Amino acid sequence: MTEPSTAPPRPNRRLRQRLDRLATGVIAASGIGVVVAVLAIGVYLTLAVLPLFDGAEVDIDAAPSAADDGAIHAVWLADDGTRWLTRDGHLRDAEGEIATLTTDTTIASVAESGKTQPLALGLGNGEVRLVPRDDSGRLRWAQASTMRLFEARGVVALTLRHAAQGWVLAGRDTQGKVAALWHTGEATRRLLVPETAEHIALGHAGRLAMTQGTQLTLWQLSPDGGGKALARTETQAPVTALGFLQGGRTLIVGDAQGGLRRWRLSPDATGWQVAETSYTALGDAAIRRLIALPRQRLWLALDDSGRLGLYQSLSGQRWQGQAPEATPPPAVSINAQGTQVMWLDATGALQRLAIEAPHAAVSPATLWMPLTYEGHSDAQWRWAAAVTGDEEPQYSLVPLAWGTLKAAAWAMVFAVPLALGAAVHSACYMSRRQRARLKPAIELMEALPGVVIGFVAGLFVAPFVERHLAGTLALFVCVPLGSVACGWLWRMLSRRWGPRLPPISAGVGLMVPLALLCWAALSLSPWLEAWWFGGDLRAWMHQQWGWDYAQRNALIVGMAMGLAIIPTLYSLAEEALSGVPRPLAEGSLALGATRAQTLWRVQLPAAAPGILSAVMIGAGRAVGETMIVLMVTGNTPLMSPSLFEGLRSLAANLAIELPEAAVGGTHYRLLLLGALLLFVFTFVVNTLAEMVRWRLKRRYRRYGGDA
Amino acid sequence: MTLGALLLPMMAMAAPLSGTLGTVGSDTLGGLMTQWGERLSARHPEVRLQVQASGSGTAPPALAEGVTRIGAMSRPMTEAERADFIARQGHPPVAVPVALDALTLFVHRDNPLTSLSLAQVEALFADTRFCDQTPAIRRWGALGLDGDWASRPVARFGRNTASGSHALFKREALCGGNFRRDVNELPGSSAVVAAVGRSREAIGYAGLGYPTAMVKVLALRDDEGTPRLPTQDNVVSGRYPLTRPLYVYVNLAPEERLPALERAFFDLVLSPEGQAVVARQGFVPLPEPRLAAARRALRLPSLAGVTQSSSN
Repeated sequence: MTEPSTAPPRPNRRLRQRLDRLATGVIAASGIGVVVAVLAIGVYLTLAVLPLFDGAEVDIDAAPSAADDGAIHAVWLADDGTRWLTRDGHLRDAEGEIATLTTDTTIASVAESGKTQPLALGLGNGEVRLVPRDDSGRLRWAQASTMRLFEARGVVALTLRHAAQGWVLAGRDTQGKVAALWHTGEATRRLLVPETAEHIALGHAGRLAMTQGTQLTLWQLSPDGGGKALARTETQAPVTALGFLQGGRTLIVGDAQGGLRRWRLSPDATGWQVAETSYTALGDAAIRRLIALPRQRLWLALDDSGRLGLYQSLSGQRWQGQAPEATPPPAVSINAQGTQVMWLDATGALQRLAIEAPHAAVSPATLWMPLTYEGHSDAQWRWAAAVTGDEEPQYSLVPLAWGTLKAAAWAMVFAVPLALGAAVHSACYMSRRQRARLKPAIELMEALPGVVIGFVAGLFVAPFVERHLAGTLALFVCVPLGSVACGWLWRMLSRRWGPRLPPISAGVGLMVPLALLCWAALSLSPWLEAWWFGGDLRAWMHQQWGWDYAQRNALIVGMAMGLAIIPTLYSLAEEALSGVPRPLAEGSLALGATRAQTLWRVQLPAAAPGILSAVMIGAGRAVGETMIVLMVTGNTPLMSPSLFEGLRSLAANLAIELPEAAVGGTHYRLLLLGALLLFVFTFVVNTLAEMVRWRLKRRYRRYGGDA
Repeated sequence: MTLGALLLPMMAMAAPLSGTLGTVGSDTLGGLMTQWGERLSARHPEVRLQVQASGSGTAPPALAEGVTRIGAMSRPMTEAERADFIARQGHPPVAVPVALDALTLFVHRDNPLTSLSLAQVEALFADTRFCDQTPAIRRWGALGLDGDWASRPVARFGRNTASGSHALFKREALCGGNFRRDVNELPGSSAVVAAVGRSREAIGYAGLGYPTAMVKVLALRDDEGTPRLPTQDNVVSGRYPLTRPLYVYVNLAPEERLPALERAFFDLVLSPEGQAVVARQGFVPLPEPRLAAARRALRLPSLAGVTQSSSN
C-alpha cells in the first residue's frame, strides 16, 4: 500500500506529531486554566465573605498585660479607694497623682464619652470633677476643674455626652434628685430636674432618659439651663438598668425580669415618640448593668446571676457567657475602639474583656429582614453604608437584589420580543444572502461598550424621555401595532398589484412607514397629552395612581440594557432556530402546512430549549451588567416595582462603594457578598443554559441536522 | 527666623531636593493635588508628587498603616479614624487646612426658586428629621412656587456615598440623618450638575466650582432668614452655612520637624502661588490669618519672609 520511497521523511513527521501533542496540551491547559480561574474567583469571594458570619467572642482574661493596653485611659474605683490606669498600662494607687484631684472626699461615680470629651468624676460631696483631655485623648489631670452639681449629697450616678460645642452631663444624688450641667464654650449652666429617678442616661442633644419603677420619662435639657419633659411612658417591668447606645438615639432598657428592650426616640409631626422596637431576654435575673461600646452600636448586659451578654442594636444577641465576679457592679472602662473593656470588681481584681466582634452588625436578619432603623417609625429594607462614622449602618441586601432583578426583568421585557422576532425572521424567512448581511450587523452591536450606551442613555435619552413621556409611551404602542398593520397592508397590496409593486423586500419596505409612525407618535403626543391627561401625563399618573416619575428610571435602563443584550439573545436564538434540521421543516411544508404553521408547530418547539438557553444567558448578562445601570438608574435603593422609578443594582453598588470601603471591614465584605451572589447567580444560570444547549445539539444530531 | 528664611532657598540650591512624595485621598482634592504636584516639580525638578485620589475615606487607613505620610481629605477625620491613627502611630495626625469649599444647592435655570432654609433642605433630602420637624417636601408648591410649578414633583440628585460631599451634606444638612432612598446618587459633581441642568424639576447638591449656565445656584437662609449665596466672602466668613475646609492630613509627631519633601510641598501649598491654584480650580483660597496659622503649625517660615527671600 505505501511506497517507502515517497513517504515523508521521518523527522518531519515526528515534529508534526510533537507539535500536535503540544497544541493539544496547550489547549487543554488553557481550558483547565479558565475553569481554575473561575473557581478561584469563587473561592476568593467565599473566603472574603465567610468572616462576616463568624460568631462574636468575648475573652475574659484575668491578667492584662501592660503592652496591650497602650490606648487605655481609665479611672477605676475599688472599695479601698481610687485607682487609675495610665497610658502605659500601670494601675496606680491613689496616693500619687490623685492627690491633685481631691483628697477630702471619695469618688462616687465616673462617666466618660469617647476619648475627646473630659472625664467626669462624681464626688462624695456633691461636686463633679472634670479632667480635660489633650489632642491625643490623654487626660490632663493637672488641669482638672471642679463644679458643683448638688448641695451636699454625693453624686452616685453620672452620665456624660458631647453636645453642640461642648458637653452635657447629668447626675443623680443619694436621694434620687437629678441635676445637669451644660457646658458650651465658656459658659456652664446648671439645671435641677424637678423629678426623682433611680436610673438616668443621657442621649443625643441633651435628651435625658430617667426611670422610676416602671415610669420612663424623657427630658429635653437645653444649653441655657432650661428643660422640659418630652414624653412619658410606662415600661412592662420595673427598670433596673438604662443606657443609650453610641449616637445617643437608641435607648436600651433592662428590667427586673431579665428583659432587654430597645426603645426608639424619634420626632414626628405630633411630637416626640418613645416606642419599643424589640425585645429580648438575657435570662430571668434582673439586669444589673448596661455598657454601651463606642463602635458598631454594640453593648454588654450583665444580670444579677452573673450572666453577661453581648448585643448589637439590630442583629441582637451575639454572645453570652459568664461574667467575672461582679457584685457589687464593677467599675468598667472601654478603649476607643470598643475592643477591650477593663473590669474592676469590688475586691480590686482587674479583668480584661477582649471583645472580638468585627462584623457584629451583620446577621441574616439585618441582611434580609425589614428593620426599624433610628429615626424611622416603621420597619424598612434599607441600604446605606455608614459615611460619617457615627450613624447606624443600614446593611440590607434586599433593595440591591431587588434592583438587580428589576433592571434585568425590564431589560428582558424590552429585549426578548425584539431579539426573538429578529431571530425568527432571519432564520426562517430571510434568504441566505440577506441573513449573511444582517447577522454580523446585529452581532456587531455587541462591540458597543456599556459605558457608551450608559452615557448616551443617561445624559440624552433620560432627559428626552422625561420631556416626551407621552410620545415615548405612544411609540411603544404604535410601533408594534403599526408593524403588524403594515405587514397586513403589504400582503393586501401584493395580492392586488403584486407585479407592479417596487421590488423591495418586506423588511426594507417597512422602514419608511415605521419612521413615519415614530414621527407621528412623537409630534402628536403633546395633543394627546393635552386631551386625555390634562396636559401633563406625569402629574396625571401621580393623581390617578400615585405613581412618581423619576428621570433615571427602570424604563430607561430597560431600553439601554435591552439594547446591550439584544445581540447575545439574537445570536444564540438564531443559531438555535437555524440549527433545526431542514428535513423537519421541509417535511412539514411538503405535507401541506403553511409557513406560519411550520414555524409554530415544528421549528419553534424544536428550537425551544435553545431559545430558552438564549434567554437565560441574556438574563445572566443583564444581571451582571454594571456601567449601564450605574449611569442610567440614579442608584436609588428603592423597593418599588414601578417602571418609572429608579433602582440600585448589586453590580453598580459594588462599583460605587468598593473604592471607599476599608479593606477587611464589614462594608467591604458585604460588598464582596454582593459580588458572590452575582457570581453564583450568573454561574448557575449560564451553566444551566449551556446544559440545555448541549442536549439540544444532541437532539438535532439525531434528526440528521448539522448543528 | 528671617535668617532661616534667607538660608532656606540657598540650602535648597546647594543640595537639590529629589524623590517621590505619595499621597492618598479625596477625589474632590484630586485636581488640586495634581496641580500642586506640577508646580512642585517646577520648583524642584527632581521631586514628583504621586496622587492617588479615590475618596476621602481611603486616606485615614493609608495614613494609619504608614503607607503614606500625606492624605487629602474633603472632610475632617471621624473620631474613630483618629483613634485608629493614634493607636497605630502613637500621636494624633496634623490636619492642615489647604482651601475652603462649600456645598452648593442648585436647580434648573428655569426654576423661579432663589433660596432655601436648612430645614427645607432636610425636608427635601432626608427620610429622618434629626434637625427639624418640617414635613417632607414632595412638590415645588411646598416651597412657595405657584402656577405650573406648584404641582410639579421634586427630583433629587446628589453625590455617591464615597464622596466627602455626601458625608458632609449628611452631617451638616441632615444632622446625621438618612437620605431619602430616591435621591439619585451620581458619581462626580459634574454629573450632578449635568443631570440637574437637563431636568426642569430637579434639585441637586455638589461642591463649589462646578455650576454651569444650565443651573441656578440657590442661596441658603441663615438663622436670621437672610439668604446667603456661596460667594467667596460668605464662605470665608462662614455666613454661608454649608462650608467646609479641605484638609491635607500629615503624619507628624509633635516634637518632629517636617521632612524636606513634605516641607517643600506644604511650603508651596500654603503660599500665594499654591492658593492661586485653589482659586483657579473653583475653590476658595484660605484667608490670610488661617494661612498664617497653618504655616505656623507646620513651622514653615512666615509668608512675609518667603516673599522677601524670593525677591532677593
